[in-house]
Amino acid sequence: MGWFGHNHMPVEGRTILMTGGSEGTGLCVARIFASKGANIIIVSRNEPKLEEAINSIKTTAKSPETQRFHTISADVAESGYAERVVTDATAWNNGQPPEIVWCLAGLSTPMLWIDEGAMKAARNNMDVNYFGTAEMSHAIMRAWLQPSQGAKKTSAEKSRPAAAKHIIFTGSVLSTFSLAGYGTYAPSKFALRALADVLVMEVRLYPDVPIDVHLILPNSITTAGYERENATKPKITQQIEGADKPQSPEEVAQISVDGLENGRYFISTSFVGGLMRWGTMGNSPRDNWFVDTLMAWISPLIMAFVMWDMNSQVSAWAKRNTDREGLSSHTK
Amino acid sequence: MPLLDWMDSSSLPVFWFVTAGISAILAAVAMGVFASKNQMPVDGKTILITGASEGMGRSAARLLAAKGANLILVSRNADKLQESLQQAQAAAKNPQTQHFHIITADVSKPDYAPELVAKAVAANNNQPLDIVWCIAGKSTPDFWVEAPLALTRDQMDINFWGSAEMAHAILRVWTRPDVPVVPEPKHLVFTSSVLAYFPVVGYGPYNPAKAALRSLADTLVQELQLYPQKVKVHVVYPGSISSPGFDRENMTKPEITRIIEDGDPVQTPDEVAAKAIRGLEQGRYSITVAFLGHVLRWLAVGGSPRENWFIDTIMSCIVQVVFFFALTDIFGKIRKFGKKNGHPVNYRKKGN
Repeated sequence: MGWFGHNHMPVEGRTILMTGGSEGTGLCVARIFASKGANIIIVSRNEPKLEEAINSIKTTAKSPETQRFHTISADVAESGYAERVVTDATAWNNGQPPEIVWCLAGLSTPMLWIDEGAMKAARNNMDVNYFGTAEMSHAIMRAWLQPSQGAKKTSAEKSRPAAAKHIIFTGSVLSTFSLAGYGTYAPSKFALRALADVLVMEVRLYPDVPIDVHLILPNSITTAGYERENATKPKITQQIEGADKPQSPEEVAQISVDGLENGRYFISTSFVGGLMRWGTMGNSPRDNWFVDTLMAWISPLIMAFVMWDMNSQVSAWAKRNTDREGLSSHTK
Repeated sequence: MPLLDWMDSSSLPVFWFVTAGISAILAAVAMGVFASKNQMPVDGKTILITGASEGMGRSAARLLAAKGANLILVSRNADKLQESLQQAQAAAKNPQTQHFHIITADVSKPDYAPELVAKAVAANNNQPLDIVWCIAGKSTPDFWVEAPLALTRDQMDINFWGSAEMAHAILRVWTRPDVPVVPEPKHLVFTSSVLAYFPVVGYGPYNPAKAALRSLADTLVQELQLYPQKVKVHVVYPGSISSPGFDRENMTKPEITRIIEDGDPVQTPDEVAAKAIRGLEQGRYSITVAFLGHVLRWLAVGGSPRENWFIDTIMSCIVQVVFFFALTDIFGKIRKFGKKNGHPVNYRKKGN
């Protein structure tokens, strides 16, 4: 449980690296951190977008004279990209790897699994969403946990308790719950959650370098990425999601940062997201044993209705659309 | 595992007795609730099994042959497949009429499945396959930071993509618009792991693939309702299996992982295959094969289809409380191990 009011992730004067930082939630997050006094590194594929983004971020800087800003162009889906990015970031950051890393680069290409093109979409989603983050977590944790790091500290530095490093994954409510039409996307988000659950245990094996692991679980976010997602989304998926209200990237960014400052592992950005997460706690760390356990009791009861409703919708849809053409919003 | 240790501790006999009593009653109710009719008859049916060359796959092949199934056994190694085939033939219920084939394939290769399915159908007198069971899998645990990244890609290729590609290929064949709708459903069976419900330190490269498999299966259960042809999906969630794969797994497994797994049941391939088949015959979707597996499933049942709404709901409430103690213990063990041993570079086996 976090102490009330204590900031578990101070960022002033520290360097934060964000993938997916050139648009959407990543850009909003970077602007918030800049306004709190952090040095910012954003990573994305598109250099003109990166330029535009970093200029926008600079305008929110708390201490524009002393804060520093950097862009790195990279494709997170490319095998081996992360080592290069961490080396670049470390060199720019006076020989120190960034202390906080947030992987926001992600995309969603929902399709029915049986449709042609589903395998290609699935592999692309896995490469960007899972491997993009997995590779970065590997590279940055290696940089933080080099055994020689301890030797470099002076005795004065050693006696000061080290502020924890942070690694933040961006999962999804679909890290905890699957939905028709997201067979190409949800596995990548389930995989991310499983990795986060392992890392939160493994970091305890490195007692000299405190590292906090966090997993953000948003619902739909109204970004350019969301528009691209809706271009392939099957009709049945749109119908089931119908009642959900997507959130703005600003809102998701703010809720996430609040959650990080409260020292939470799981950060859901809406109550519905929380419900989904409480349904499948597994061995993930509890942020608050009492609340998480109580809600884990209640969630299955709510899930009973949610799933019954969802399955009814899918069955009813199937009956209405008996010919093949109606099954997806496009049939290639 | 601390849960079983804690359950054994004599300081909480009353709580344990009550929990065991409730579980026993509920389990008994569950047995009565499940249909007594066989939901996956295999006599005279044709079953394709990947990972059939050893371990659980080899056991499943033999058991299904004894029930009268025709088999198509798949793996990379033709010699080992031949051995599996001979064992299955020796166990065949109707040796005169059952037919057995082997096909070599590497499930980690992209797009391996359509060709494999075509070959299998041809071997089956051009009749559709009735059941596909993806058992091919591999576990190479190691610390995330110490192990090379190639390891997680390799695990994903075999454990997730191997099954995902087969699911895509066979489901496209089974649900093609010109395929007639028949009363008997086809079956697609995945083999995940209890680690999909319960990630454990040291399994960083492996966990994500098995969790991804669960997610895909959950999605397919919903999506298959959109197609008129009947297809049932199932996922088997074993714990440790004393197979040749397990021996290889233990070569890289970190000590802290062993400490946490200490006390967990290790089942034989025959036992796991038999329990899995029974679960399939009972029409179960999520098939856990040991008590610990059932407990871990209840802990993380989430949005997956329920086996039995009443039991799954009550048990998921109970295990949340029990796991308060178990998880505190697990995290405590890890922290203590870290303090005692320092940086893993000090103790990690060379060459890992």
